[in-house]
Amino acid sequence: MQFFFVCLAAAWLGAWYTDKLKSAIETLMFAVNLDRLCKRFAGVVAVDDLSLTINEGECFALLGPNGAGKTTTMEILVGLQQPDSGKARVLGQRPSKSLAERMGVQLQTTMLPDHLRVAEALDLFAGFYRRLMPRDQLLSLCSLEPLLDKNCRSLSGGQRQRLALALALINDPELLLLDEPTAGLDPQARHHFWQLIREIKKLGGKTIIFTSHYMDEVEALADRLAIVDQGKLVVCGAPYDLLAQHFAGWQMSLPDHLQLPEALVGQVKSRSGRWSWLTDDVSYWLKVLQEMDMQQADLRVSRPGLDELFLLLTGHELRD
Amino acid sequence: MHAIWVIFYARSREFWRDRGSLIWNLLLPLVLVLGLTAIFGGQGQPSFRVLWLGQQDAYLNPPHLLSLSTVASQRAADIDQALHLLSMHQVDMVLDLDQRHFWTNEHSQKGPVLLELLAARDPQYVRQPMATLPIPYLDWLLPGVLAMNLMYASLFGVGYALVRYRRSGVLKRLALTPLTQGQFLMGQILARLWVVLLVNSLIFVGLHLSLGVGQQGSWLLLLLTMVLGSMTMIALGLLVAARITSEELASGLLNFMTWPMLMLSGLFFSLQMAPLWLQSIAQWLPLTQIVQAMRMIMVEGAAFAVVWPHLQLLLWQCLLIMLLAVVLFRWQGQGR
Repeated sequence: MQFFFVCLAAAWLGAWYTDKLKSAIETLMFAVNLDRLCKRFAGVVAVDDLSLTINEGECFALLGPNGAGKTTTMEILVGLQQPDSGKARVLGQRPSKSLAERMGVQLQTTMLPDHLRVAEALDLFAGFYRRLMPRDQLLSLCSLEPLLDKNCRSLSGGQRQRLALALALINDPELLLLDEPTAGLDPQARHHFWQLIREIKKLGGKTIIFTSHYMDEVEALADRLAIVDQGKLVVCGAPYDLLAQHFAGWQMSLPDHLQLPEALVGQVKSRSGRWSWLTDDVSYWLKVLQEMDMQQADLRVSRPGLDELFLLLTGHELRD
Repeated sequence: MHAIWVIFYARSREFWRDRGSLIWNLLLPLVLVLGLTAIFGGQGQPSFRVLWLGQQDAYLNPPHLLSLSTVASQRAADIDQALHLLSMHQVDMVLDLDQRHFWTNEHSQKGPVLLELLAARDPQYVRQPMATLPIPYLDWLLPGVLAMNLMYASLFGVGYALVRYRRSGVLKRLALTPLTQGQFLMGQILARLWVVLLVNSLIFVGLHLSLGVGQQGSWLLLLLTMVLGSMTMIALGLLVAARITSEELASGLLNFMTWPMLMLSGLFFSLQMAPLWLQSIAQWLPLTQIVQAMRMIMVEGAAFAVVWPHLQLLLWQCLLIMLLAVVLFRWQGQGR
């Protein structure tokens, strides 16, 4: 009888230790570990049973339409929100203020006290941290040198986001979290911002997590991505793996005011002003279109991208 | 016209949905009216305040003056205290019914009127010189004005800024740094404290140069009192702004705190004849303590030991309120 209890205790202890060991190994390997995370606001489910792991040193994108739960997930990671259920581990810890020293965060909008100049804003935030990125490096990384004497209020959208990025990088963080860093920027400012992110990736050693609803941004920057929709994880993986997994061949498209080839009528729908369809045999369709005397038409042939993937997996478009 | 209407509509909506400030906007005038009625008994404030001394039966044949409705009278404990209150402009006349003596403050506008009133029916009363030099009204008023300025600058300065920071998202961003609540609040307190002290110093210097007002006491003690008073008011501002995100509600709450303090602190008019329960409430208000301590120092040149009871009360209030403010403080408002 005693022997039975000893065995039971040993088994229980063994299981407990294995469990501990497993989670310890997990937290060592992953920068972020989300396990069945749920969060609701006044009856609206923002995050619904979301499980994710993000590796150390990778650039990870959370992609989804507005209201998909990207920002809420971010806010849980940085400790601004508490999950209703599920577990979040960031750099091996429960999200809390004690991680602030190791993280850099850029919120959707970064608000600063009034009347601060750029240099003063940098000094203000530098005062909060023990560990700092050398100021020269920070300024050149975010191309802020010409703006140092400007009032933060007078900055353009792109300049403001670069300042926000600099404030997130000021403590040379292990983990950089960017919430829709390019929302509302013009194309030129967005491309400039991408270049900054690439420079940060080159520094190495930093895990970057960003949210976006721009497919091209994610394709350009992310090593891996998770597509989320209505708080749920749709798919997760490296962009090219996911595309290769779900698509073979090419995507062709025509403006939807043109006549469709006979074989396609009723088969394809028009979206964003174009008929588009997937095919393995581009030369066949070129021939068909030639016979229809449509050489001059605005025909496009491309590899299917994340837009098509999103449509395929969720049945609706990323931006409605 | 339509543009005006839509703006009107949106603003009204905004105001209406901001339940907190709506309630205060309704409640504040109500509380004010009820409070004022309680203070002045609904008959308006008596125009003159007279203290009298005398044996129990002396009051059997009082001067006609004391039966006038515009005169509030009260029996004084002893002559020294009565004359002190007279010199501090807390009362307008002191009567000794046994000796048929009276005293008025020669710096008071009301003195000559009372003198005439008394002489008309009871000419046997003889005016006595005051032993201590009466204080010019401005000297009496100045500590109160400085204290009032200190209260407004401290309360509104931190209260508003904090609510604005929370509303605009500045606090949300700061919450993501290693900055602690204590560090943040202490920074706010110190930033406001030196502004308050600087402004009050400038006002004093300005009045000194233009009107020649001075002060009798120790500068160090005065500074200590102002620092302690300002810290208490700042703490109160932090407490009000600990959680709310609406500037309108903040304004309502701050006004709700400043009004009773202005009325009851003895800043503009004396509570000498007010009901006792009101006087004892007034004693617990920080502004009352500040005004009294500053008057003692500036007008009478009081020493540390004399002012200490006031400072002690302020110190405890300051610590208690600050502790509450730090505990209740949230970086973010409710919800998202």
